[in-house]
Amino acid sequence: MTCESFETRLDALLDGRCSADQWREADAHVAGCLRCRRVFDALSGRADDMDDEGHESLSQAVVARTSGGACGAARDRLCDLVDGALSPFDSRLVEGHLAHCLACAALASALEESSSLLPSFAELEPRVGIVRDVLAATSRRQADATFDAHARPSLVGSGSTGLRERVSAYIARVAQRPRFSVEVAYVLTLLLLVVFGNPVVAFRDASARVQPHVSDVAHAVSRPLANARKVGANTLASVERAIRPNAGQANAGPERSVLVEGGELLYQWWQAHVVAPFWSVVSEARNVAGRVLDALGRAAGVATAEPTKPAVR
Amino acid sequence: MDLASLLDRCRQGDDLAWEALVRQFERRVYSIASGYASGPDEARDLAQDIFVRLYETRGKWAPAEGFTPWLVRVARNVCLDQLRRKKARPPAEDIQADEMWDLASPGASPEAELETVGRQRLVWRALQALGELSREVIQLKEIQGLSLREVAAILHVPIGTVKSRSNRARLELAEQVLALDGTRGQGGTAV
Repeated sequence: MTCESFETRLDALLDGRCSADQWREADAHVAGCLRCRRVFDALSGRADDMDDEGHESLSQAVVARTSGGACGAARDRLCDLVDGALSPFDSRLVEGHLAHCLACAALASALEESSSLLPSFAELEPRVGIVRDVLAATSRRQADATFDAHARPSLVGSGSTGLRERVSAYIARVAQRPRFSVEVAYVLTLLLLVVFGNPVVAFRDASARVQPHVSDVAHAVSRPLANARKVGANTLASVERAIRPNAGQANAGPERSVLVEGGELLYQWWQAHVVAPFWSVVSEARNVAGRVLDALGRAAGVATAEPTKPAVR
Repeated sequence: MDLASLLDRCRQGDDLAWEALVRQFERRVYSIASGYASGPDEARDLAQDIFVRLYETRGKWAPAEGFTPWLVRVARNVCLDQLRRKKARPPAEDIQADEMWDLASPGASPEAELETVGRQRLVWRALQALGELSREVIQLKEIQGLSLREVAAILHVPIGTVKSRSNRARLELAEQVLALDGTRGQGGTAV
């Protein structure tokens, strides 16, 4: 007979509803199984003859086979017991368990000791005092006036200087925070995504889309340069004619010297062929830049404002 | 010294009051820093950082009645910020209790004092062997004496969670004490 079959037959044994053979089998089992014998003795009332040790073993055996042990329940309430937060009834229950469970009693003892010693760690004396270092460190810093309730400047009537100081102090304080760089990177990334959308998608075909505009720029720049080169050659020829006029022209106008005429021609050449082409190139470059930015904006899927017209000079 | 008056004077920029405040809370701040530091030097640096943070935010100090819990919260935040920046933290087993601080001497006789210091070192070593969560809740609730509500506010967890976590941590600490204590068997006296 096994312990399981003995347990299933236990009620019948206690009620006297078993056959002689079943009794013999049960007797044979309890003769060799101390635990089943103690359970049977306890339930049948025969345990009264046991000594204290027998009672203890029996209790443990019954608890082990029923609730599985009370150590877990006792440990759940140990902290409250040590703190004096347990009801008198529960206190008696836990103390009753501790009186018979050495492991839980040792744990309770250690818990009580550590609970009494832990508050002594609330203030620890450093081997080297830190007061002097703290005072030295803080004396080199000015308290943040932004948060000083007594020295806080009022926004109304404080003037721009007070506001500027407050903003500067705030920015300095924010910039000193350890996470400042991470936060800035995070905000800029969000800003980039909001303005341009997904940059990978937006710029996937950017080079192909920008190519015509780059060609426009090259064409627009090359044309004024070619004009400037042509004008420069003409101007050189004019200067040469002015410096070395033929005989008939030289006799016709003695009142204007060659030097004055050369200076006037040089000034006209400067105005007509250097200043004007330069502003023409600048104006053309601004137009092209506006078109490029517009194209980039459209490529990013966000409509951009019309480029401002360059001032005509 | 009246804490409310001291705080007011500090807010007004009285350097003498600030020095007095640093002296008054030096050991407590160092204790909190020790709970997060891996050695006495780091604890000292953390304590200084905590005081510097306090000084820089004088206008935001909590009123006197709630100053200590608020101080614990600020100190914890500073420690976590600094440690997060350092990222790596040496194993807690490397910490030697007698290197961390000069132990108090509450005992009446030299023998009793020696016994008390020995038990303190044992509990400290057991504390350092705990996990981060357990050690922190013990630091806040059992060592610094904050209420369940205050600890819950600092850790951003419900009060019930603090209670269960605290009980579990204390039992874990007691088991660690038993494991480290060679003189104590499993058959201690019942409470």
